[in-house]
Amino acid sequence: MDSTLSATTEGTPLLLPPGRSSSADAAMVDAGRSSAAGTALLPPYKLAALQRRPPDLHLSAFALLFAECIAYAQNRVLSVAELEYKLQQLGVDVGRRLLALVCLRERQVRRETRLLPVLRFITSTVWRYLFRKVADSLERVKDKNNEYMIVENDPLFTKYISVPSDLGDLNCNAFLAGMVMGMLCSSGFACVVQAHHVPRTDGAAYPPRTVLSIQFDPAVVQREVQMS
Amino acid sequence: MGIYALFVVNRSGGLIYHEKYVGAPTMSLNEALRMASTFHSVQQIAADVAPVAAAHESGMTAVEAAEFRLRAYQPRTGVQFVLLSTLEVNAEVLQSLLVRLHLLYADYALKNPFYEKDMPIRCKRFEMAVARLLEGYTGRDGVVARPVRA
Repeated sequence: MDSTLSATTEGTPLLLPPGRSSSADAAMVDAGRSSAAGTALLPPYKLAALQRRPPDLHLSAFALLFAECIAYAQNRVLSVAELEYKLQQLGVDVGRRLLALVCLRERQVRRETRLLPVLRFITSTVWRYLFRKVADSLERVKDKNNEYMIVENDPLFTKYISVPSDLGDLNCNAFLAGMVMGMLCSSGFACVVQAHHVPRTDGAAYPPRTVLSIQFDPAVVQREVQMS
Repeated sequence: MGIYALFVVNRSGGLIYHEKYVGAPTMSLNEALRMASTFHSVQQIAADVAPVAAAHESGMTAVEAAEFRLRAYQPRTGVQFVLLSTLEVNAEVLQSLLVRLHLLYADYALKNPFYEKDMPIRCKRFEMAVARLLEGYTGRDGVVARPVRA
């Protein structure tokens, strides 16, 4: 989260056109006219990063890329568990970067220090950013104070993916689980997140729902108790 | 009645997906495979011998018979979608269903990392999407027919 803060403060001078005083620029920013002159200095990727609502990505493009990621990983593993681990690790890297990006774009400058707010931030703000919807549910596992779960009825990532029976219980949302894990771990909540299939409640057999089960490190729970 | 059967044939004439509905003649998997490859060959020959230049690309796309109607659709990739129906089903409707089947194939088969190109389609989500698409055409008087499997 510190990186986000420094990114915004360091980023601001770049927005200012050379040879102008910062107060004049502040006035221009207020008037909303700075974009044409100021942003011309920014490379396009930085410009896109600063937009609050970035352009939508075509689902087909993502689905094909994700399918290739899975096929690539599948050729380099010997078991289903190994494949899930690889996808999860891929997600962790994405999650770490995504957290910084979402905070920057959503102007979220405060770092969440409590367990429930950080989970709510992920299941609402980040979920809306990724999928334009909030997570279907966020629950605490009964009788466990360090286990939570995020339920998705039909995750977007696996919209086109049917897992063949010889791969057993493989859930490609291990990637999404990795993303959540990356975000939580880099926010200071050490945890392990795994994706599981659960039967649907409406009786239909397919597609099964996905549960991301989050198991926090005991130290996180201990800290939580001390803070309350 | 409505739609009798659906065939998806790959570019080398192999049957990769088929579904039979109420009213379709009983057909074993081997017969279906033979039918598909025969149709594919006839299609290719028709494209080669066609006297009209426009037909060289599409080949045979329609068969009108006294009892049934056949429509085939072959996009540039060479995969072929064939629908058999009663005469009650409008030809334009069949054509639009074929295009939408192509769309489903592109989504649920080709974007599935576990599907191998040109191999039989065994994707649960594809099956479900096809069933949903053809739901209204596979029964009579509002009764939705279940696909009949060999």
